[in-house]
Amino acid sequence: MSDEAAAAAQQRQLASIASLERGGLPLAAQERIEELREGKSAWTSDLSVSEMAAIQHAGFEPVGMVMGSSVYRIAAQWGYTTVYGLGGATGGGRVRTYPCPHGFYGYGVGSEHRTGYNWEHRFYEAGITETRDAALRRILEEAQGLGAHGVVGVRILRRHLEGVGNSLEFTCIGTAVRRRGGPKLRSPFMSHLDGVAFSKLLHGGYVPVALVMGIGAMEIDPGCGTEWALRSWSNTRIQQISDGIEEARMLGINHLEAEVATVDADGAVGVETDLSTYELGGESTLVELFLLGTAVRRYAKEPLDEPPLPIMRLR
Amino acid sequence: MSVMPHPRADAALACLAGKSSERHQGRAFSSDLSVDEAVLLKEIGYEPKGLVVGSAVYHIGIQYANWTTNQEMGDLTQAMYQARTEALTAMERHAQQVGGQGVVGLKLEVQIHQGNHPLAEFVAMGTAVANPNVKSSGIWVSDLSGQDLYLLIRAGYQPIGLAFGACVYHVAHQRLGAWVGQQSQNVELGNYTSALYEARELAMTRMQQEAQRSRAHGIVAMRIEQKSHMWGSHVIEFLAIGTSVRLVAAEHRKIAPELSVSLDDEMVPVTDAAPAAGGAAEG
Repeated sequence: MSDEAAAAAQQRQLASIASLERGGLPLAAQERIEELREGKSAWTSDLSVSEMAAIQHAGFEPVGMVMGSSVYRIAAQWGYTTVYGLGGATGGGRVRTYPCPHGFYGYGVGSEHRTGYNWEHRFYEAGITETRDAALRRILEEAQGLGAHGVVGVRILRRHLEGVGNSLEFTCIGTAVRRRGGPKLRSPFMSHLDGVAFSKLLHGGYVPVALVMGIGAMEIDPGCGTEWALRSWSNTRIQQISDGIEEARMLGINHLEAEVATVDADGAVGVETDLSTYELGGESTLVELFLLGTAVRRYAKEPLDEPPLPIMRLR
Repeated sequence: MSVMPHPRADAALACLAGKSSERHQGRAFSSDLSVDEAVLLKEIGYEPKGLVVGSAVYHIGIQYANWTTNQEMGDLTQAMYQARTEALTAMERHAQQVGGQGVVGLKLEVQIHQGNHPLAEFVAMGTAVANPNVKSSGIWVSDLSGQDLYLLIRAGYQPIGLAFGACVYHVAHQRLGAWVGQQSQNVELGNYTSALYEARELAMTRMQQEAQRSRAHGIVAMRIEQKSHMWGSHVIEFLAIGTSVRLVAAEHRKIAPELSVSLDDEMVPVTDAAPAAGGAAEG
């Protein structure tokens, strides 16, 4: 590559980054959307034939594929080990303590007796939410650029970048759809359900509003009571760990429902749940529940145009 | 190009644009129902109330069994049964809090966490639903999907609750002499047959007794799960599980399905008795 070409490429890179910082899209995305909007290129979609038919049956047509992506560094809570009494609670999250059942109050490194803590990783939750927000903002911007009413079949890719510490990539890809002559919306709707489900939803009296997420992250630092129960020979319920996992699940569901309320929807359907645990060193564990769903709003009183017809398939 | 008239699509967009809408009453809900399920449940008057969960983490200890005998591991059966019941109770409490009358699409799973200390996490998860026109006191729980429930209720039945029975069984190891003696013949391994047979029967009996106690008329979508969890090959848990139902209408209502022949090329998979897990997004 000549020096000039290299310099131009460098310029382009910088311009893209500057655009992202201003809350816009990178140059490549702007150009692609421009091309699609002006009808210079054919429309694109990853719809299957039945999805395509279903969307048209619901009165919509595909406009083009849209994407939003964001890579974040999540604050250093991954490697956060136990700092009893400090650190954990400063984010303002949930904390629950499990005092030593044997009546010892002195706890510390090397002591057999210590207090257990379950606490919420607020910073971590906020980091993931921010990453997601950035990605969703971009996909919506692309959709708006195409004059679309919504995006269906949004797929979410959530992954750690190999070799980049504490990184998280959040990418969403879907097909933008529109109804010719429909009113202009302030923000296009989004759904992670496929085209067939979108059509069923619409005929069932619901309209998708937005993609909603809920995340609950709890760290479990076992106390001595928990450690002892783990070593027992009998079959016992481990209270602290049960509580920690249940708390993470509850937080996830509460956060999801709060997002549903924020977008002024009635509920979320098709919620996918993903529970993962990470060993944090020592005996500590991070339990994370990730929920993803489509928020829907009811627009019609009667459930279906026609009652469903039971059929028996003869293959 | 002229636009095909489509009142539903126009109404939906008008609603999004902030004009007239027919709103859901009460708090926002979350549900892992698929679209089909959400729409069909609405059709029989049920509204989703929220995703509900309950979990119990158990440290499952060891119980020693005689190497050469077939026997039930009473302590383990007891622990597995109790842990599931606790997870279910926690979930029912959650369902009550969000104003549910029942839970559909229940997933009752055991996840083994192998670490320094093997732990078993029992999770119960489903979507709480309620019908404002029905008075009910308790909470019914069912692992049926929304589609199954739609058919069941349309046919005049009411789900009463989950019925399940567990049995953890130790299958005896064969003596070496017997093993050598049988190498050249086709023989029934009576030892294995009877052990597996008995364990299944015990699990099913317990399930039936549970259904009887709740005065059910029958159990639908019953299945037997057979897992060794963390115990190795000779200790097996048999879990019989299903939804107990009662006929509440005067008589079974006929549904009279239409016959249809699919023109799709692909083979339609035969749905077995096991209910579809209510969860995943509509595919």
